Amino acid sequence: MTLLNPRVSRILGWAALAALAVLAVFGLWVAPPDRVQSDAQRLMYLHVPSAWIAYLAFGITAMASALYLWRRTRSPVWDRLAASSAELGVLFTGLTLVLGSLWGRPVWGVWWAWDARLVTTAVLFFLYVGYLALRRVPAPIEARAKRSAIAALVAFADVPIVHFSVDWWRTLHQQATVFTPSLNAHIHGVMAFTLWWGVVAFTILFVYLLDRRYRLEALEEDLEARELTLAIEERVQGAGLTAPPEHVEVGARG
Amino acid sequence: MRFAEYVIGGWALTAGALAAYWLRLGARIRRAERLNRDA
Amino acid sequence: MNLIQEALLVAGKDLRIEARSRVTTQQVLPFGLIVLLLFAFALDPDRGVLSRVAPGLFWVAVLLGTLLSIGRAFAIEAENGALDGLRLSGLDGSALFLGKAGAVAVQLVALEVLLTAGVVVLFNVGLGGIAPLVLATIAATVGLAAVGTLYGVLSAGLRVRETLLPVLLLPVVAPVLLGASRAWEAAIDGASGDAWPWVALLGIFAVLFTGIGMLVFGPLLEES
Repeated sequence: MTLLNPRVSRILGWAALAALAVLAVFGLWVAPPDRVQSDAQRLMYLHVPSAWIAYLAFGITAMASALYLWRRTRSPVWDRLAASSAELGVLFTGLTLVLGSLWGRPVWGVWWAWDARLVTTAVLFFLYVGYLALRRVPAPIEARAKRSAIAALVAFADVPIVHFSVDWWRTLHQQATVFTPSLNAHIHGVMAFTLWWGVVAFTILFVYLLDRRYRLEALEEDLEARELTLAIEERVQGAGLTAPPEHVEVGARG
Repeated sequence: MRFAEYVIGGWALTAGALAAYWLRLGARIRRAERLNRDA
Repeated sequence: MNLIQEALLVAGKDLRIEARSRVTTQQVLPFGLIVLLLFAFALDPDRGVLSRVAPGLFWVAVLLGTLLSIGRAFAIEAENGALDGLRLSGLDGSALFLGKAGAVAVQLVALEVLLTAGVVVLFNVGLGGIAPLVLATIAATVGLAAVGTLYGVLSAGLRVRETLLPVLLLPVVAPVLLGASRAWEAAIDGASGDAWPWVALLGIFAVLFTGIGMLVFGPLLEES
């Protein structure tokens, strides 16, 4: 029903809140403004952790999908995990893109730059959206799980190719590198700590939300199964049949 | 703070988006629990 | 029958259906040309950009045509229990995949030949570097047909197929659009050396997704 013990989940929730509050204090106040980017750089403390979670969530979806497809480990747990992680992935990928825009505008004067990281993140966003669209199509649970799992793995196989091709494409166009939102590799001290803390805080938040989302997925599957049983019973009684009909359409979700 | 609109805007948006998602998730869970009980 | 023979059987069936129904020739090919025309309306020929961006426009038109071709490839299986027929035929899933993807690839090549003539005539593009041009096109076509057939079977039989397929397929084939456009640009600009790495990327993509398709087509067909 849930991934974590309910008490652990609640503790994590509070821990996430506290960690994010600390992040805000450090990110908005304690950490100094950047020499070049001034205060705009403070968005990095959200943008980078967000991107990290986006990729982590995607990895989890892919791994869970693989575990579902492999017969020896097949279990509805993996399917639910894949779905939950994907939804969170869309959230954090979208957040990454918006924050990237807000960061880029004051610093480089543009809302968007065609650099490898941003473009790959944009493609990742659409891969997720497609996956979620696929999951919303009404289908028997096992069929949907198998279909979604394959779609997730195909997308996962695609990501390195996208990243490599876009990265190579952009490095060929050296004239555009004035817009390269490269992470200042020489951040140290408070800034480095704040960034690291941001990753930690977001990770705690992600695990907490993942557990919650998983619970929702399990509940909704239970509901579907119950509605299915009810529908079959009604059909059997209504038609005076002794055997259930072969095809019962599972109701559309959401 | 320089570029305050972008910085505060970005942080506020992040807080808002995460809070909204969390609240909506809670509502969806409660709804599913309720429907499961009634079913 | 071995894999190749089975695949040819399936591809032959699809191409024979096309020969009789002429849907590709009468609908998909004109669609491609219309897209080229629309690009001219959108980008204003007098601004001098068309010939420079022609490779990208060409491949976008091919991509859109691929959506139609894949939709058609599975629409023909939608009636008379044809899909069940495929499942019960005893043909190997990989062979079915290669056959269907192969037929799609052939039709895409027809589209590409026509659209090449289209960009030469309409956008005033001078072809150069024929070897990388052709190889890039072949590799890209195989890649598009493979991924398209994979997502085609995944969304086959679903009522939302027409809107779901583009959303699933287009992000995944973004590298094909990228690589093929850059390869064409390099070939046309006379810098064939720059085209070959893109051809290699397209080749890797084609091989990878043909392999994946051969693996999962059978299981997906069972589920749809």
